[in-house]
Amino acid sequence: MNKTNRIKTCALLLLCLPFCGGWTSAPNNQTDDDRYVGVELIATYASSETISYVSKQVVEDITTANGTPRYFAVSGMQNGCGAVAGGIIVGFYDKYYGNLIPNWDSYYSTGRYKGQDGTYVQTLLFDLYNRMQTNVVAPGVSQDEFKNGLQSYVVDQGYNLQYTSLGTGNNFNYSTFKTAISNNEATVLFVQPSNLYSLQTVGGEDHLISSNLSGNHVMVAYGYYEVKYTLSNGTRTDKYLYVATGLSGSSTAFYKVGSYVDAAYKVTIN
Amino acid sequence: MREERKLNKVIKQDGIKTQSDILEDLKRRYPQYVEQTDKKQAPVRKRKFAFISAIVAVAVCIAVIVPCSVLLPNRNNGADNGGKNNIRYCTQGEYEKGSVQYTIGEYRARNNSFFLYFDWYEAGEDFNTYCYVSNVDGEVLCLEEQAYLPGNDEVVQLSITKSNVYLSEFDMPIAICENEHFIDNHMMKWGIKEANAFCIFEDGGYRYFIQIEQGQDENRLFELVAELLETK
Repeated sequence: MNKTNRIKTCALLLLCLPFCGGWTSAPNNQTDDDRYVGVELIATYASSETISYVSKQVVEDITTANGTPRYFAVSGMQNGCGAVAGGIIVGFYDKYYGNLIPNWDSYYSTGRYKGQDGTYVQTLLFDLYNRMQTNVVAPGVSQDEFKNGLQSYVVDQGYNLQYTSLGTGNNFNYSTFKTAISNNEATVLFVQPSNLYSLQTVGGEDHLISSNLSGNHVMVAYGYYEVKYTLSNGTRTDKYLYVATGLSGSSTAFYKVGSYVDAAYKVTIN
Repeated sequence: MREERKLNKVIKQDGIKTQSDILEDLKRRYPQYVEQTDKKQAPVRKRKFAFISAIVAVAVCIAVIVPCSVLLPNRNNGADNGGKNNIRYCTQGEYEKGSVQYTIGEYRARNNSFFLYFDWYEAGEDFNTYCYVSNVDGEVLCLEEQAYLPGNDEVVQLSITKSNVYLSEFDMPIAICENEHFIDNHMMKWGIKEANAFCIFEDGGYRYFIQIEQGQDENRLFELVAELLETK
């Protein structure tokens, strides 16, 4: 193949790429049958972004009272992100509805949430894991399995649970979410492989470090953070959700407002 | 067969050629390839120099690489040095994390290990200890203990791995620990993200991760590292 032919072939391949399904960057439309599995959080150091600013103003930094507990999957909970997210919600509301986790309080007298107890929380997580039919039909859980499993647990403890949709796709209802946080209510997010962020101030600069969720995931959003930078050539405002990832090495992270979500539900227990 | 027939036809057309005729012919047809192989041999002095250079290079390799390969493992093969020469990176699918009934202090005493640990069992409450075990060979990859310290109303987590072991779930804490600080000649790296304070340092073949949940103060991290180093 001479040089001209090689160039022609390469050009042709490049033109064809956008039409190949596997190469498109837009998220796939998800259905309720999509599965949410245990994921790996892959730190991508190379994509860390340095934000050099003249000045910075934290516009809003609001979370639910004391955030949420930080639970994670343990041995025997393969693809258990649904059960862990459900457990975080139960642990969060146990502070206000004391029988959600029988014979145990998920918080200290100061209001701070306890760590993952090896007995009570583990029992809770395995209960949710089974109620959500994790890995029964296929690996992980579907949205419906998650919702039914969590609801069944809460009802069995003598309480009611309601889900309120906060949008799907790119239509996440940020203002309703902010109201939910003001009302001290947690939100469950169903997401596709996507980026989580951490913001670090180092020597007068902010470093935005991204890491990648390797698969579909369920996590809990419990606050929001908005920061406005005055740069040398303009301004920039970043908006993030605080999320409890359910991953033990990095139990909390930021999720960018405007990122694609398969579904988001405010969870109310009473 | 078809190729052979073609070749015979070409030979018949060209007739029998001498080796020099063929070489000339090739030079004419493919000058770019034939010229490369048609170079004159280097003079004897040059060849001698190349030979000596090769001998010197081999000698240098033997002098540097062999001692290194012998000495470095010996330095790292001590009983409790973490075996740094044998890097092991594990993703989450390659190990199980389970709750255990013993504390890190008890594990250390039972296994006659020499890693640092917090002797916080009187001052703290609600200890949760986890053990990460490899699915591949059953090796203990990490010990982790979480305690509530009521004096400071804080939840502190200590995770210990050997220096040669990297677990993917610590990638993010490693990435965010960008600041450096020295305590007793130990370089520690620290960072604060989403209201959690992290630090990492190494000592005696082990890597230590400390996390303070909802902690914002790096000085508290420095205190904890100093406290840990005092247990040596």
